Amino acid sequence: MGGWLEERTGLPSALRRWCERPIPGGARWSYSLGAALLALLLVQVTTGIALSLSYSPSADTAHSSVQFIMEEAFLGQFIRSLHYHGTNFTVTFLILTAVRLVIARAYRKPREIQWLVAFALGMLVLATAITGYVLPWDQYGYWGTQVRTSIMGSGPVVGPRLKTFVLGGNELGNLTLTRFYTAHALLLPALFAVLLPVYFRLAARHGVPTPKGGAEPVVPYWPFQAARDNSFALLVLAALFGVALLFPARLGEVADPQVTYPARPEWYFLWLFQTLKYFKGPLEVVGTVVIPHAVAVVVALLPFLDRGESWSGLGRRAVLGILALIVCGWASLSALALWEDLKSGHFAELALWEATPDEGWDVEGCYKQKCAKCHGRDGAGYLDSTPDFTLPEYWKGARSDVRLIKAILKGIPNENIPEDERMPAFEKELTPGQAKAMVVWKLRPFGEASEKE
Amino acid sequence: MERRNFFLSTLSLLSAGTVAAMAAAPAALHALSPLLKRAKNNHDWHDLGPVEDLTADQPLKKTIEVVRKDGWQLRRQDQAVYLIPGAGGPVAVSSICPHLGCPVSYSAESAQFECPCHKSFWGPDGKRTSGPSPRDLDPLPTKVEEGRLYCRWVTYQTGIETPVEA
Repeated sequence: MGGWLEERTGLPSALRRWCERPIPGGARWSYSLGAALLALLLVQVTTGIALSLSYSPSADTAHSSVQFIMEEAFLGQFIRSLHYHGTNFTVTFLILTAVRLVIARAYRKPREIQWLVAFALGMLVLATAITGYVLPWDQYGYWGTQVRTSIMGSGPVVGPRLKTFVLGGNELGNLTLTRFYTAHALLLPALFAVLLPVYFRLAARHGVPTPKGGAEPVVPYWPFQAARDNSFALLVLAALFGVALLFPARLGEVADPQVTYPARPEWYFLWLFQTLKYFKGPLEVVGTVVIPHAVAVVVALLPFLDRGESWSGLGRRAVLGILALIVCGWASLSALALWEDLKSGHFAELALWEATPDEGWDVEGCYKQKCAKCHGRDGAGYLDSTPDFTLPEYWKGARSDVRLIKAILKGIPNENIPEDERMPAFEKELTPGQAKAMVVWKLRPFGEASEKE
Repeated sequence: MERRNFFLSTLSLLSAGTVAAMAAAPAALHALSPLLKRAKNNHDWHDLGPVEDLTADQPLKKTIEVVRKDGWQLRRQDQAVYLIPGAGGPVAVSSICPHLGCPVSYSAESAQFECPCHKSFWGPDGKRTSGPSPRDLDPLPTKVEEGRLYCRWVTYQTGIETPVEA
């Protein structure tokens, strides 16, 4: 059997060579970061395929199809949680693997091309992550993509055209979703699938780089490194499954171009969000284009900075310096962004968006006691300035829960309305969860009841 | 050394197998789930009008609007129903061909039902006369209430000799 397959494909001997390839310096757990990354990518592919079975990329159907996946499809909630948290796990292990490769000098001659291929694979992973956020068509993905593409549009020379190309027009809409979906699920994975074998081919050719401590002892990949790689990958997947079970991914309110959402980039791009604050006006392009691209170019060109044999030469020290600068810059800018958001009440604002209706609370009693005086028991309203909740037109178009939650908690300080008729703020009496319950279980049903009649 | 190698090889194979299973299982079960769930026919009654208006000497075509849960949306779809004159009042039959599901129509000229796809023919009573259809046109449940005729829409499995709800 082995001989038959060998004569026709050469696979058995290729597998043997892969298993027997020498690991200079012995097996190490740190080498297993890449194996975990690969296992995570595999989960992203299978969960992505599963999600694509029930996802419909159009402005009218994207949100409801994701809702269908989460609420009705078999294992849908779990699969989406795996895919969502899997992105964070993947980016984490991508960063860890990159740092390990730099420390191990895996970029050095003759591995320059291998390093560039690895860099391209990393960029493809990031691009796939970014193009995925808009797909559920909720406020978070919509406004995040709005900001990102606007940054693109403000770029020099080709900026505006690039934005039009990416959006499939001048605004976010159906064509944006189909474009992002094609990039996320078809184009970028296809490029990745083409480049990954190239990377493995080069890795097999060059072997594992000799570590600082020297080549002894040399052990074969199988079973010494394989046991570490596979069991570490299993541990990481077990952690991902645990996180997906304990913290189910959420779906925000449907995208609403009328209601601005406090958009923030994902944690690994928070440093750019902070950088943007320091470059105003004509200098903005420095923060949005120059700095991120400069960082990428420097990382790609590391092999050409450190070319000597010595582990303590000038080039090596320059590379470690750059690595330290990038890691420290990234960490401190991200921390600053979080700190400033904490101070400015961003998280309190976010809490309004993420509020879940408070279940053990007497909505009816509160409405009778606090609201009915002006809004009426039937929700139609007594005063000229109160809205009529029973009119289906009131709920048509963009009538976001958050806008109403804000009105309840902060009041509506309209100077044109006599003071005793203005909507007062109930911030001190109600929590965001109670305000959300009021909107979902009391105010919305007014409109739904009249629509049925 | 031999025993250690055996232990590490087994650990490698078991972990790799578990990783592959963890990656594949949720997606595979999700993809196969429609097989575990029986599709439900919508049981709404559709008003076809007063019975006396529906009694003719040849089949009468009526269109009903069937509401179907279609993934993430409720879809309204028009379906044609034929009312065939019978001894005890009109009998409703589906316009879906029992062969492979094409739409059947009645031709007053040739006084027969015909399926345009594979040339199956039925008499004006809905009984099979020729062609590949394995059975007569499928009956739809009806009821009469306060002089009005109502029918239910049912989707049947195609290609078999007895009508079975899909």
